[in-house]
Amino acid sequence: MRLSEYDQECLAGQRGKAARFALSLLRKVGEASGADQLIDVTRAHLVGAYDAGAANDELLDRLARLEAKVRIPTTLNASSACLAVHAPGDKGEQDRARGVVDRYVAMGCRPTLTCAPYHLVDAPEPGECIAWSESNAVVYANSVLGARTNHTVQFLDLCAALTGRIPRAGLYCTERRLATLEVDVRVLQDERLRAEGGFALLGLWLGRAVPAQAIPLLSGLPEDTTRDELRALGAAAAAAGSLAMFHALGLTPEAPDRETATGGRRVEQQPVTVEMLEQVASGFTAPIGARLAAVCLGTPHSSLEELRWLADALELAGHTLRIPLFVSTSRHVMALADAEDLPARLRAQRTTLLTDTCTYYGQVVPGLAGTVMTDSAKWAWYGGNNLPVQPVLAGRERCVASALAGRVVAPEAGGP
Amino acid sequence: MSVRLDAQSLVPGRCEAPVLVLTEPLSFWGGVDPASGRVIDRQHPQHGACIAAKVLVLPGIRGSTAAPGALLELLARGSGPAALLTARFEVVPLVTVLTSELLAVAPKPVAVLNEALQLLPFGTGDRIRVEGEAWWLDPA
Repeated sequence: MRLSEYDQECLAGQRGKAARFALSLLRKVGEASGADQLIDVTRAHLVGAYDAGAANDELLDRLARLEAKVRIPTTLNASSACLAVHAPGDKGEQDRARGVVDRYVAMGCRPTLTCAPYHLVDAPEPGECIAWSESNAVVYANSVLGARTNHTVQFLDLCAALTGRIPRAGLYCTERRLATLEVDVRVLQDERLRAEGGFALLGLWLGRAVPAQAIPLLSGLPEDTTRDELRALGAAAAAAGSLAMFHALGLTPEAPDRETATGGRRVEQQPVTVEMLEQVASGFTAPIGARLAAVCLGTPHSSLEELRWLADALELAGHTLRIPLFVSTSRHVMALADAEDLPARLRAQRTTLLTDTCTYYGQVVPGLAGTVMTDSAKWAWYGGNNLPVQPVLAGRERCVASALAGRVVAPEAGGP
Repeated sequence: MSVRLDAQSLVPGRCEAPVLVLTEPLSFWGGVDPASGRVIDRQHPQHGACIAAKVLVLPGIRGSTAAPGALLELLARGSGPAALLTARFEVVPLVTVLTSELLAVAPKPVAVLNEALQLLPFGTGDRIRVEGEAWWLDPA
């Protein structure tokens, strides 16, 4: 693998001991993954700012003793506790999470604490090479923004931040970003399926059905598909499988037409049916009328548009919630929402707002157990494993109606 | 009769332990209990199996990019695998084992199979032996 003068200075220790460790690791990973060189990345997003245990803390302390400092703008992913003033949750867990965040901040990272770094003011540009972790952010950056990143796993992300370098492999290479199969998803033009969380179900199906490293071209999506819907799809596919990028024909920047998305190659065609999506949903259902313990929204972190929608939907209902409704977002979006008075409106409806974290971490909502409804396939996937809960997946309208009723309500009359 | 596995060594080492073969990719974050090393992913076909002190043979890694933090914790606590052999190149085991060297955790051998996982004649009670860069299957 070709190394630049800068790379060699790092390896020789001329840029400090932490940069030497980081570049040595990047080089070994680059060689193992068949990269021809390391390239510059403009920014990094790190996944490790949560309480992962004593060994992880010890590792950061060792790096601090090597005087580790990030070399490029670096943001931090969601943590394992809400760190806002007067936050609900376990105080010990909050202290441990704060301890980890402080270690990263001491290296020069920004405490953004969000799994939705694409919502921050300076989102990546098309074609920009970045080193992002957090699987939903990676899919969103590649697919919706047209920026370039692999699933930069924990510690590799930190090494990229400490050096501003990454092996040139996978999705940094133009030819590796072309669609490798086409999936006809016109089934989502059915408005009722779409309202019932169809994009999340499609993501779950894609994650399971599409081979690792495949890049699907989705054709036949509704023309008015929103960025939040593409985000829900990508988050689900990344949680259930290893999807790092998809194209949506006519919707995403690298798929203005089939020719561009595939590079002119013929690719295998695969249809998705309602039955396939129902099969995926069957693991995340509960009988109509079943009692609910809570409803969890905001995985990945809610956008400003989603918070506006929720405030309007709750006020329209005219009565307050029967069970807890948790909504997670970033401190950045919360500040924007504050300027529109959204948090006050949501709290008036007894919504619990959380920043910096996700409700599927064990200690964020102490005692969360039983049947929990969510609009997020990612929450359903991880919540079901991390917590003693039975997750139920539904569209956001049904999530709100069920939170108001305290029970699983039926989909809109005539729905799937 | 030992069988030499066709595997590309990423981290050489030395170990000898029982094999645990997974038939689907694993998520170390959220899919494995850090204290015991048990597979807790309810969707996984080997749900309930214990990866501690086994040579873990698996088709790949899936899910969260926080997998190295979880695997590092498993390795540091002694509830992690003795060696990792994946059917396709995966960054997670390599990065985690290289990082664990900063903590003075003995590096665990890592390799990628050059042959199809489902064609290998693994049976109950089989063991794998790693000597430097060579991986040997010792059938029961």
